[in-house]
Amino acid sequence: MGKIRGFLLKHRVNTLFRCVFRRHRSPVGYHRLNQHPFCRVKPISRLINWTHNLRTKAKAICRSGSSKNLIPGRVKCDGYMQIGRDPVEEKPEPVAVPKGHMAVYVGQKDGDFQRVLVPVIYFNHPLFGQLLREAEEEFGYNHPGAITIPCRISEFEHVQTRIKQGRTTRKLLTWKRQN
Amino acid sequence: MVRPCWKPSVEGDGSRRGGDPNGRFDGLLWYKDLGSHVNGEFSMAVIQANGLLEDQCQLESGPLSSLKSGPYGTFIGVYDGHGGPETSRFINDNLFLNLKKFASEHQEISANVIKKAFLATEEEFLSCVRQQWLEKPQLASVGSCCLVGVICDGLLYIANVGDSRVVLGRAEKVVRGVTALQLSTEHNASIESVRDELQSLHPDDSQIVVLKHKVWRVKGIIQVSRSIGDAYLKKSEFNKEPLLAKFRLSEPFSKPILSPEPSIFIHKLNPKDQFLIFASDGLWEHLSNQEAVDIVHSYPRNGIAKRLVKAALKLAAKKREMRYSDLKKIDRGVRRHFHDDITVVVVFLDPSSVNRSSSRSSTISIRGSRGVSSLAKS
Repeated sequence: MGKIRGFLLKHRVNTLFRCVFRRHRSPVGYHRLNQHPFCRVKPISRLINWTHNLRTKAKAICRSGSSKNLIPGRVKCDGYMQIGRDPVEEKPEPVAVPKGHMAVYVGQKDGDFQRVLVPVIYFNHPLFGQLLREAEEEFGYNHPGAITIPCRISEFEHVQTRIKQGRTTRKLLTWKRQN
Repeated sequence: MVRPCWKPSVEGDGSRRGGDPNGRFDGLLWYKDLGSHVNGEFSMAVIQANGLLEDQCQLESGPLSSLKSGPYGTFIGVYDGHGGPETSRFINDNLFLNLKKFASEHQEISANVIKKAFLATEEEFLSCVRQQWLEKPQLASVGSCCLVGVICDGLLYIANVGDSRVVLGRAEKVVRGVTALQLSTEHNASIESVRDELQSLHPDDSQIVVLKHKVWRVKGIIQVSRSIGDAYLKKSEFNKEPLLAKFRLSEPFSKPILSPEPSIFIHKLNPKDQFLIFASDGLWEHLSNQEAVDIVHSYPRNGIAKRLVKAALKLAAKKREMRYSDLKKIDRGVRRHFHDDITVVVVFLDPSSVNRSSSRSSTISIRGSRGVSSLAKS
């Protein structure tokens, strides 16, 4: 008797165990595919949707934060900033100058100086060299801060467009150094 | 016409990568990561900003005279030229020879011997200017600062003309770290005592120092009050034609305006003295004495001079609102708008070797590069 009882108990434990096991783990795979496809997929897709929303919302917050300068941690959001936008409106942070560019200030004596981002390679161009010589005569080499070019902004833009044209047509050859 | 256009491509050429004993090139940078001298180890680096490199440097270790009996030690020279590379190159070729000559005569190294070597080099250069006066008058407008350190018999001699600087790193138990101690006296008109000295030497000239571009300049021309060369500001015979008017001083003068006399300082070396940083003013306009000493103290010896140069360049780039990686794209000449030529020599003082005589037999002689363009020509 004892032996049979024992056997039955073992069975009961076994079935109970199996029940618990099934309910929680192995049946998931079958249920998803056959019997109850919706009740299992739904939460996952909901999760995906939720993370997607979170991401877009975070992006939107970052964007508005960087343009309005509301969020203190906006430096971290630089990755989402538009290239054309001047990222250093109030605090001049040199890090914010895009790669391959540098900031120069252009303007005339006692007037307003305009901050312009210039491709670094323009500096090696002889036309730009002339502007730099003027800057050196006016301010010397030891001028603190960014390079300041004493000329009208229209004149400066003219030089920039000429360099741009020269680059596309004659390429590098002519403006590699002459001395 | 075409050939100069191709010059830049030669810069990275493997053939110009002189072997390690004479240093290496990396674009406009020349460096010697680590070498050893009689009193320890050293590291050197030079970055070119001018169209022609105006900074020169050298380290000589071993006999400091032509005598076998000594003296023995280490000689360090940093020469920051202005108006051209000729004077600093001339000093690089002649000053140490002159020092050896006078050290042999006096059979010792002393402040007097070093001073004589400076004045002899100045005289030789001025006679050089006189010889080439007709074919190359612009040589009269070229000059150089000259900073020299001599380590000999446990003493350190510092002789300076101009505004290069040497800083000693000394380990202090109290501070836990290394403190900076400036050893050189500078002759730059931005220092009030230098302006006072000039005014007392030229009491009749109210325009002896002038503020120009927010910088004090002697006669509105030059920042240093002492130099080697600058013949047109030393002797009236060079302040006239055929030297071009733009290089000349408009009014005549009877007394030399600049002096070649070095300020000499003698320091008894102490076991706490860890290292010396010799550098042209190009480094010190970006780094403070303590910042430079902290860098040398906290990083490995190998390539430490190059690290100091890079630290200065990074700060220079930051000041100009650009990135360090972009600064490297700018050609020599144009670079001068971003930083000056920078020379750094870091000399480590190893106490075990200060009084050692076994290493006397070895002679080390290393010169900084002559710059990118001159090497491309040769």
